[in-house]
Amino acid sequence: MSGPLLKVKNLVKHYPLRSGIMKKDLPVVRAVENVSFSVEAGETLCIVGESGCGKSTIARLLMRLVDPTEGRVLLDGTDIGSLRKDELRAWRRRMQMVFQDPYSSLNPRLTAGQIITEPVENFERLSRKQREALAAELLQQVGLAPEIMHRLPSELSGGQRQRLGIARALSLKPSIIIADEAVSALDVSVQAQILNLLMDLQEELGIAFVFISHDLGVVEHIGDRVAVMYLGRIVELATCESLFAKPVHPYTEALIAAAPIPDPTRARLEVPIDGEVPSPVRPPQGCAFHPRCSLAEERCRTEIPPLVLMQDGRGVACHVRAPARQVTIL
Amino acid sequence: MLVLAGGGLLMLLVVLAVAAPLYAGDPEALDPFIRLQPPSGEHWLGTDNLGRDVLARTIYGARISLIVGLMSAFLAAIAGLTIGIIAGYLRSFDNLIMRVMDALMSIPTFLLAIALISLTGPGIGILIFAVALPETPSVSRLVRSVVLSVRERPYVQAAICGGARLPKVMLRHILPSTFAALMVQSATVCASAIMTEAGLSFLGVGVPPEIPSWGNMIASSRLYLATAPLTVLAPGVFLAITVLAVNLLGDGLRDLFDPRSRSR
Amino acid sequence: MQVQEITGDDVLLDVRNLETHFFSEGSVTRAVGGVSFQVRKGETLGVVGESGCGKSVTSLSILRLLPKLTARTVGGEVRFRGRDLLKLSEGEMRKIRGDKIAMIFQDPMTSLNPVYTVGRQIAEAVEIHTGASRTEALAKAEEMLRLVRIADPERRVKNYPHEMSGGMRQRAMIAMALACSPELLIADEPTTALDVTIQAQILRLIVDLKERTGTAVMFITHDLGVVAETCQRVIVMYAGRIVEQASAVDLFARPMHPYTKALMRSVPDRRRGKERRLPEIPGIVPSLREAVIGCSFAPRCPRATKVCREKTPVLEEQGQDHAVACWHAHEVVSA
Repeated sequence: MSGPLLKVKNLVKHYPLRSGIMKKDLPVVRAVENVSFSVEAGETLCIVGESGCGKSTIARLLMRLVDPTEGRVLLDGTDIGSLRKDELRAWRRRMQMVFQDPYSSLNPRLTAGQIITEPVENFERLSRKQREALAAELLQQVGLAPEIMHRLPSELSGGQRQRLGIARALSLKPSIIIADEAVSALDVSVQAQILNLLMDLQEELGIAFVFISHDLGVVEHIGDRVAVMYLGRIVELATCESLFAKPVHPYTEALIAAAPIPDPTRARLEVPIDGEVPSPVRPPQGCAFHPRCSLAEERCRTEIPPLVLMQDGRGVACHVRAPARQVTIL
Repeated sequence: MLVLAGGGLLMLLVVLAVAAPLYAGDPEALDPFIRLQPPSGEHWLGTDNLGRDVLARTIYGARISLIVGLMSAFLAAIAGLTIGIIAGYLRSFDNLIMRVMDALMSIPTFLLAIALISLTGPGIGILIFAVALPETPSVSRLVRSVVLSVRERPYVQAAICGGARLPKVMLRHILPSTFAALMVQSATVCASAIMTEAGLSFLGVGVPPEIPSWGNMIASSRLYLATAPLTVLAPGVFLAITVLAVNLLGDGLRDLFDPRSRSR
Repeated sequence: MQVQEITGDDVLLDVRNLETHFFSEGSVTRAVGGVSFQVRKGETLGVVGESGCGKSVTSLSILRLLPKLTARTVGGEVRFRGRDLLKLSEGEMRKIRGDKIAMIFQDPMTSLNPVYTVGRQIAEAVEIHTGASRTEALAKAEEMLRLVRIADPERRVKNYPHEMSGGMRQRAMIAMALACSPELLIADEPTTALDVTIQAQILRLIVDLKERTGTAVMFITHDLGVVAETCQRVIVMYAGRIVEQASAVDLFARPMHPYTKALMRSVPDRRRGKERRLPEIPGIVPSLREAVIGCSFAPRCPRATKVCREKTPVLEEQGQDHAVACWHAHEVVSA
C-alpha cells in the first residue's frame, strides 16, 4: 500500500450560532480552519491544544459524526466524504473511536458483553455462543476478566469502563483508533494503566492512533508526532522528540512552559502568556495568536501565517520564527 | 406510595368494570313503572328517569370511560412517540412536523372532537381518535426533547461509530430513554381523555345515548337532580375517583422515574 | 515515636482524628477515617490524592459544609485558633466561614449566583462580614477585582458570571474569597477545570496573594505538578487516611510511602527518559464501605507483608518533619 493511512486535506468546520434557512450572514463558530495532516499505519499522531482549539471537532469530523464545511478526509486514499450511507458504514469498521467520559459513553441499560459485541453484530449475525466467545476474547484483550460480561456499566470502576470503551473500539479490528481525551477523566494511577494498554495494543495489532489530549505529559509519552492547535489551526506539527526538545512556535513554547513540573526544587511558576484564548466566533485578524504573542510584528496582525516546512521536517505557522519565503509551503 | 394508591384504585375500577356482567344487573333494562326511585334492596342506587338501574349503568359506564381513556392515551403515546422520535432524530423534518403539531395544539379539543364526530356520526372508535388527536402534540414535544438530549450522548455517538444502522440506534439506544417521560405523560393524557369523553357525551356527541356512559348519564338525569340526586351523583363521583386514580398513578410514576422529585 | 505536635501560636488549624462518614440505605462509607494534621500560619499546605481519597470531604468537614442528610462528622476535633469548630453553633460557624476561613471550588460557575453581578456578590460578602455600607463595599469589590488582575475592573464589576470566561470567573471567586482578608483559604481543585496557560496564571495569582496577605492556604489537588509548584508542605491521602506528610522538597526528593512513590512514578515525566511502559499501580482503590483491616494500600502494594494485612500502620515521624504510615517505610526509601 502506498501513501499514508489517513490523510486530512484542508479541513474546515464552521458551526452556525443559530439555525436558520434563509439568512446568509449568520455568525459562525470557526471551530476548524484549514487543517491538513496525515497519519501513517501504526503510528500515533497526537493533537494538543486548549479548550476551544478545535481538537474535538477534528475527532468528530474524522469519524464523520459531523460533515465538514470544506475539505476532505481520505482513508487509504478513499474520500470518506464521498461515500453513501451504506458504504460509510463499512468504512467505519476501519476507523473507531474511544471517548473521553467512561460514564456517558456506555449505554447504562446494556451489559458489558452487549456493549462490546454490538459493533460486530451490526455487520454479522452471531449465535449466543459466538457472542460470548467474542466478548470473552475482547475482555481478555483489554485486561478484564470474562466474568464481567454480564455486568452493567454502573457496577464497574472508571478504569474498567474505559477498558470496555477500548474493547468496543477494538471489536471491529480497526486500522486506526481516534482517542478523544481518552485518559483525561481518569485518576493518574488508572491513567497509567490505560496508556500502557493502548501502547501494548498498538505494538501487538499495529493500530494507528489519533490521540487527542490537552495533557502535554501524556502526549509526550504516547506520541510519535504532535500537532499543536490554536483557535482552529495547526500552529506546529513535529515529531514528539523535536517538539518537546525545542518548540519553535511561541504558542508551543508557552504551552510547554505552563505545564507544572512535579519537582519543588525546579518550581518556577512561570506565567508564559497573559490573556485568554479569543472567541472562535470573531478570531483576531492575521495570526490568531498575535494578541498574546510577545514576538508579534506588523505582519502578524494582518496576514495569516501558512504552515511552512522547516529544515528539520517540522511544520510551523509563524511569520517570525518560520518566514515563508525561505521554505516550501506544506 | 402514590403509584400503589393510584395503581390499586385503577386496578379495582378495571376489575369492577370487566366483571360487570357477573354481578351487576342489565344496564339497559327499561321499567317505566319504577322511574326515579330512591335506593332500595333491588336497586342499590335507585333508578333513573327511564327506570334503569343506576348502579348497573354506573358500573357499565366505567367500561366506556376506561376504554376511551386508556385507548386514547395508548394511541396518543404511540403517535407522539413516533412523531417525536422522527422530529428529534431526523432534523430535516423537525421544523415541518413541529409546526403541524403547533397548529394541532391551537385547535380547541372540544371543537375538533365535535367537528370530527359530526362528520362520521357517533361511535367509540371515532371518539377515541377525536380525543387522542389533540393530545398527541404534547406527547410528541416531550419525546422530541428527550431524543434531542439523548442523541448527543457519547454512547449514541459510539453506536453510530460502531456502524449501527439508524433503526438500531433508535430502538436500542434512544427509545428506552424516552419511556419514563412517556409513561408519566400518558397518565396525564389518560385522565384528560376520560374528562373529555364525559364532556362530549354530556353534550350528546360522545358515545351513542343507549350505551351507558357517565357523561350520558349526567346529561339525561340533570333535570332530576333535585328529585333523584343519585342519578347524577353516582356517575359524577365515579368520574372523580377514576381521574384521581389516574392522576395519582401519573404523579407516582413521575416520582419513581425522577430522583430529584423523590428526594423531597 | 508519634508525630510531634507543633503547638503555640504557629498553628492556625489543628485537625485531630477527624472522621466523616456517608450514610446511604443500609451502608456506611468511611470517607475520612481518622485524619490529623495542622495548617501553620501563612503556609501553603497541599493535600493530594486520587478521587475518593477523602481530600475534598476533609475540607467540607472543616467548614461543616457536608450534605446534611447523607453525611456526618462522627469524631475528632477541628481546632481553629484553639476553638473547636465542630462544637460551634450554626450562627457562630457562619461568622467563621468567609470571614476567617474562605473557600474556592473547582467550578466557579456553580458557586457564583448567575442572577447577580459579580461586583454585587463580592460587595455583599464584604457588607455581611465588615458591616461596610453599600458604596464602600462596591468600591472594595472593584479594588479586589483589580487585586486579582482582572483588566478593566470598573466595567467588570457590572458583569454577570456568564459574561466572564472560566479563568476570569475563578479570579472573581478568589477576589470574593479574599475580600474579607481570611486567615485561611481552602482551595479545592481551583485550576482543574482550566487550561494550562490559564492554570499557570491562576496559580501564580494565588501564590502572590498569599505572600502579600499572609493568608494560609490549604490547597487540595490531584495534580502533583501543581503541588510542587505551590506548596511548602504536603499531605498525601489514600482511602480516607493520611499516608504521608512532609515538606514538599523532602516529599518529592525522598517519598517514603509506597503509594506516594507509585503515584509519582505513574505520571509521565520526561526527566526519567522515555520509558516504554509507565509504572502502574495494579488493582483499584478499596471500597470504603467495609472496615479496612490492616493497611488499606496493602492489596496493591508490592512490599505488603503479613503485618500490613493485619495491623493498620499509624503516621509516624521518620525524619525532620516527615511522617509516614507504613510498616516498611525504611525499606521503601532505601529501595
